[in-house]
Parts: sequence; C-alpha cells; structure tokens
Amino acid sequence: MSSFMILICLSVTGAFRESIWSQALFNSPPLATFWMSLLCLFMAAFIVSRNLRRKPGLFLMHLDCILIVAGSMWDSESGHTWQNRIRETAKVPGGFMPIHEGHSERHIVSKDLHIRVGTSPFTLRLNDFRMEYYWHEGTLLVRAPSGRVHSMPARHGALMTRGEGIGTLSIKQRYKNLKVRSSRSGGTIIDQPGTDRDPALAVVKGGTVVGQKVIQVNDPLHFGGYYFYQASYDRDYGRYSILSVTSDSGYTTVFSGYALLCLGAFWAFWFRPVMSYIEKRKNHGNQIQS
Amino acid sequence: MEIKYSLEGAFLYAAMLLYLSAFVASILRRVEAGRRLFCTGFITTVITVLVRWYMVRHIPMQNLYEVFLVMGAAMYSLSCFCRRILRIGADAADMLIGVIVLGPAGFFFSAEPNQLPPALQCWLFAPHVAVYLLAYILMTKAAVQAVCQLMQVTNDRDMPRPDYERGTYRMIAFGFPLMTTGLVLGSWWGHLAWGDF
Repeated sequence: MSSFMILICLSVTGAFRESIWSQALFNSPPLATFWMSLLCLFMAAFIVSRNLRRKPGLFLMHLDCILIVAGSMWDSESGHTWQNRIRETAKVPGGFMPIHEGHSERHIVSKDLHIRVGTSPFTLRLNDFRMEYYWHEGTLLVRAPSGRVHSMPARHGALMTRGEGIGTLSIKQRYKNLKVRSSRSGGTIIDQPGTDRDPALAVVKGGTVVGQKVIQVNDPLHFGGYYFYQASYDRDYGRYSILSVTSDSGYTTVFSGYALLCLGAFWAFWFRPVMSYIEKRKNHGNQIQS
Repeated sequence: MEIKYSLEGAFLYAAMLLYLSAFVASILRRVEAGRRLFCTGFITTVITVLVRWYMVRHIPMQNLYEVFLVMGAAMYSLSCFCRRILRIGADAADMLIGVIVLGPAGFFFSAEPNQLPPALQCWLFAPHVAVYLLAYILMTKAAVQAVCQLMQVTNDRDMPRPDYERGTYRMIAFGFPLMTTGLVLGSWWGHLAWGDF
C-alpha cells in the first residue's frame, strides 16, 4: 500500500516536471524494480485468486495492467537493449531526424541534433516542406495624411470611403500565402494555399520508393518499426523539417491493455449491474407467476 | 471579471437565472415549477451552445469558457438520467451545480472566439473532452451525495433518510468507466500527436 502511495506522489510530481525528468525517474533502477515486482504480483494474483479468474470485469482489469506494464517496459531504453540483443537488430527508442527539402536522411540524432543515436534501415526523402498559417479575418490599417489611423476588415469586397485624402479603398483579393515570381516578362502573383496533397515524405529502400505520405500534426508516418512526426523546422528560412522518431515497440501490447481496461471497466460497472438487475426482475416476475 | 454583452451572453445569463430560479423553487418545495424552470434553463443553455458553435465553426470545447458552457448544458440531461435510470434524486443540488458550473463561463473566462489550433484538429478531440466532461459532472454529483451522507450522520439519526451512500456509489460506478475512456482516448491522441502516451 505504501509503495502505491509513493507511486501516486511520484506521478503527481512527474506531471508537473519536464517530461525528460519524469522519463528518467520512471525508468530508474528503483522504479524498474518496482515495475518488475508489480508485474510478478499481478501474475501471482491470477494463480492465487480464483475470484479474479471467475469475474470477467475483474479479470480484464488485471490483465490490462500486465499488458500495459509489460508493453511499457518493452518500449523503454533497457527494453530496446534487450530486443536488440535477442533479435540482433539496432533499433533505438527514439530521436530526431532533420531533413532539408529535396534531400534524403537515415541518421537518427539526439534532441540537440549533434549526437548520432542510431540509423534507420531505410532512407527518408523530403520532397516538399511547407507551412500553413492559421489566422483570424484580420484588419487592414490605413494611415491618413493627417496621421489618423483607420481600420477596415481584411476581407474580399470590403470598402472604405473615409475622405482625408485616402480616397476610396476596396479589397479586391486576399492572399493567404502570397508569393511573387519574377520573370523577364514581369511578376506573377500566386497564392499557394498549401493544401497540395502530393506525398511530401518518401521512404526509400534499396533505391526504390516503398512508401510515401504527407505528415502533419496528428498524422504521423508509420514505417519499419518507427513513427515519424513533424516536430520542428528551420524557423529562419523554412529550408528543413525536423522529424521526431519514436520506436513502435510495445505499442500494440500497451494499446491492447488500454482496450481491455476500458472493456473491463464497462463490464464491471455498467454491464454486470444491468445484467443482475434484469435477472432480478426476471426472478421477481417468476415468483409472482408461481 | 468578463461580462458578455452579446446575444450569446444574454442567453447564458438567462440560463443562469433560470437554473437559479429552479433551485429556489425546489428549496421552497415547488417541485414541479422547479423542474420546469430547470428544463427551460437547459433549453436556453443548449441554444447558447449552438450559437457558440455557429460562431466559432467548431465543436465548442476548445477553452474553459466553452467547457463550462457545455457542462452547464449537460447538467439537466444527466440529472434526468440519474433520477430515472439510476434512481438518484437531488434535483435541487443539480440545479445549484448548474448555476455554479455556468458561473465561470458567465463572469470569469473570455468568450473571444478562436480558431481551432492544428493539434486540436483531430477526431479524438470531441469524444475525449466530452467523456471527461460527463465524468466530471457525475463525480461532482457523487461528491454532493457524499457530503449529504456526512451531514446526515452528524445530524439526526432517528429520521428516515434517503440512501446517499448508495447514490454516491452508483454515480461513481457510472462515471468511472467514462473517466477511464477519457484517459485512454487522451493517451491514443497523445500517441498520434507526439508519439508518447
């Protein structure tokens, strides 16, 4: 009980600290020992307690704990060391991958982008990188020769007739991603909306493209045991993208555990009381009939 | 203090007033009148939510103003569900919770409409927030039942009393799976957004 209280306190503390700090704490040797003992206790409970095996809700809610703890341990740094030893692979738990537009990359580096932590078994090519901006309707500010500032909504068709030497202003066109291409014949104004769905990221293995996808927020690329997320970019010139790389080891186990957790909770707290209520009603009806 | 001088604000304050009137009517043992006022308050809150939805062009659960507004709208339906299905009364307490929940939306949080940022543009956004909101309301109702139980124990022991303890248990049993689902959906969303859970 006291170890659970300590775990609760550590979890609350971890929630308010940086994720790196929490990750280091929960993967430290004392807590690794705790996870291991917890796993053994859950397994022992299945053998010892008949009640646990009989009640489906209770069974599922304990089984999911085993899956979540085991999956998370498999996904940890030590878990990856074991995996690599057993499978003779060189998989890394995660890292970052900066790629310039039009270039290919296969090295996974640390967060400061200086230390190489691993190499992926395939190459990623960044065909296209673009940013989309979100903004409100916006306001156009117009300073009159008198120094007074007038504002008008920046939307198509808006009109301003204020006098004061401004004349009449009307908005004919609004650009979200204004680009001007100059050529010998003159300039061309284009508004590239950034919704072009051409695959921006290509996975190349042995010289052939084996997968491609546009990755954006909430939509990562999953390939070859890794998830690739759009994490950062070149803030000065927008020349390169920084992808965060996460190993998928243990994910299926953990998410199966989550699914069982939900199922067990609904079974124990919703379905079982409803079933027993229906049974009680049925028995009551039978008693009245007899 | 953030007073809303808009149509949406007018509906919101009207809903608060109706919930408060319903509570007062219930305290004065005008049960039927109280329920009607509560229902009218609910309709007004739903209209406020719909107006907000139309204005912001996304499901209104993005900030705390919208969250409290939706919680206020969910209050009546959950109160009816608890009374009819779970057989737990406490209408007056629900009306008061409705006023308390709408309070921060009416007076403290800004109603400035915002675009949904990219991270929230995910299909998991609505179910994740919605189940948590329902769970929080149920847990608040359970807490009220528990306080009633404590007050009952300290006051008069000989009077026939409603079973607040059973009410607390039923409410928590109903809310716990919702809270678990909210946690799991959040975990899944975290995995989609930044590869962690």
